[in-house]
Amino acid sequence: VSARYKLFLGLSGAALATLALDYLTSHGHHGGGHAAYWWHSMIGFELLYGLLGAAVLSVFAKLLVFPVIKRSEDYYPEGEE
Amino acid sequence: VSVFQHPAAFLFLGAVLALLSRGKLRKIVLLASPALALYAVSMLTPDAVLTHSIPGFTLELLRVDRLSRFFAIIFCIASFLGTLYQLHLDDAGEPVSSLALAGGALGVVFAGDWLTMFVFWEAMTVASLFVIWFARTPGSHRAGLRYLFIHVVGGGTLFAGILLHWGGGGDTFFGPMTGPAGLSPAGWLILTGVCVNAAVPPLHTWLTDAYPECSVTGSVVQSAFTTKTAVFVLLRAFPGAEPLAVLGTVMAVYGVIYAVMSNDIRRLLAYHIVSQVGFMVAGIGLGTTMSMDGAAAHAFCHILYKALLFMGAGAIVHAAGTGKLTELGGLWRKMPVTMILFMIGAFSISGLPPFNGFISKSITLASAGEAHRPLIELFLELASVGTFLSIGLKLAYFAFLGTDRDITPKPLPPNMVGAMFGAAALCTLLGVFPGVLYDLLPLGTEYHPYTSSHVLSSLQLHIGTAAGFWLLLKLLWVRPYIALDVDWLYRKPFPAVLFPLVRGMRAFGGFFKEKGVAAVYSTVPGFMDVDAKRMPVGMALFWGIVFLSALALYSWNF
Repeated sequence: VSARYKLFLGLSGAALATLALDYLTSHGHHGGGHAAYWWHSMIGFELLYGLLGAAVLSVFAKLLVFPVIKRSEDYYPEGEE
Repeated sequence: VSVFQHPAAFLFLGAVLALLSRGKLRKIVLLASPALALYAVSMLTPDAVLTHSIPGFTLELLRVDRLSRFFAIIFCIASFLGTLYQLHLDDAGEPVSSLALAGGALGVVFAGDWLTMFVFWEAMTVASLFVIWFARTPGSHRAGLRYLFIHVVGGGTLFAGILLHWGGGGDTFFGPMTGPAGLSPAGWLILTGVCVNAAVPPLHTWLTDAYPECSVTGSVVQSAFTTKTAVFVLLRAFPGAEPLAVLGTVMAVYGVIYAVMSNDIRRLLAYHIVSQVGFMVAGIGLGTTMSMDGAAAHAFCHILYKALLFMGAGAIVHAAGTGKLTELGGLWRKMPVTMILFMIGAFSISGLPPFNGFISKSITLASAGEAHRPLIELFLELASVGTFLSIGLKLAYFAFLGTDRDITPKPLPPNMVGAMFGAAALCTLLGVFPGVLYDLLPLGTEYHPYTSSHVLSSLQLHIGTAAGFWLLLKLLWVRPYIALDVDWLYRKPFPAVLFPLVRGMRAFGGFFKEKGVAAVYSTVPGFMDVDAKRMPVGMALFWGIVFLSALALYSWNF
């Protein structure tokens, strides 16, 4: 079993565990003072937000912005003057 | 009270004594100064005042309230940890400048009027400039000059605002500038000057440019003071200033986007100062009791985990000789202690329980929800995702795991390791016992971070982010490039205009030195020196004649 696969199993296991706990404890704060917006009470919202957020940030930074503004590491001269 | 009860006095005095002493004695002085300053802070009572009269003005050097005590405590702790991390240095310059920097920060924190605040504010600029310069590299020399350039403009803007405020009949009292009528023009100038030090984009590049150019010990010290003093001033003078809520949110996301692109570990961490200070600035802009206490709490925790992260990064640079992720990898086997301590810092900054970022960041996030600012809440949460993505995953993966570069690290001085243990212990202790911090909060907010929904939200956000990193590892792979930022404007086009201009003026001056002075000499031979090439009197005379002729022409015409 490769390390990658073990990591995948670990992550999915942890994700499922938090989902289960989220479901079990969610009855307490549904409609309570905490749920100002729908995503506060949606089960597993943060899981999805973390995944999509990481994807959006990575794609935006590395595919859209970085190719335009990247320069070689000696772009700014160092030393005298 | 006497001047020797002012906590800043211990740091300035310590700086002078450390400069005069050497060896063991200097080390004792360096460590004792912040410790005594912390003791002095603990002895201050709310009725303590210290004034100093100058002609026409009374400076209020010391004013104590919960807000100033709160920031003073963390500044003393940061100064102690930073000094400990520097203790192996033979050169007194950097530790002494660092003590002066902390002293300036305490001076601002306890200032009772705008003039006192401004004097210490500028003292901080000078001290931090020397912390940069004592890296003694060509890169730090140039970065220091750019740092000075930005801070002179920022300090000038602040001072113009203060003078305009007084000129308009404003109070000299260092207090809120916000009111029902909104900000006055003077208030806007002051706010802009403070925003320079708070590293609000596009005024942030002095930080991300200069901090990675400091020595590894210097950047630890730098990370604590300048931006957090600005946060203190914003809390003091601009609570609830609406533009700050949006600016802070922009900062938080801006910083992480650059962190995702950075290759240099200390530049990556510097962009995370911008991002984390964004959380604080947004909290101040939201202006509720809870959001402002959240900002203060986050400043407190941030100073600790940021110092820890810069210490870990500094340990990597010290041991491996490079801070570029493309040249690092496989360090977990050789630097396991550094890795564990660094990861405590990484989990803290991401807001993972049970570390201190969790107990402070969640206050700001919750207050944005309660203030019905869903976009601010969601974008700050996106910044949290980016924080874990770029520090806890990207930096950690490429430095400690990744491609094994077969680096043989240099051993670390024990004081560096000790400072890392100290910072990591405080990050963990505050996370486990949040009450210690909450009891000190300036506005006395009550908050319970360890509810099942808060803990689960944080865990899920981190697991989701880790899954994203795992899927997008190829895309996030580090590349040996820098990412341009707005400092490009004053590093490329500005010199392209300025340097030819300076060269032209030099040529112009040279021409007159040759021809013009010779003309004066030939008409007034009595001034002729034996050595015709060196005539300071002649030059002064020449320019005097030019100036007086211009003046005569001017007054004659009008």
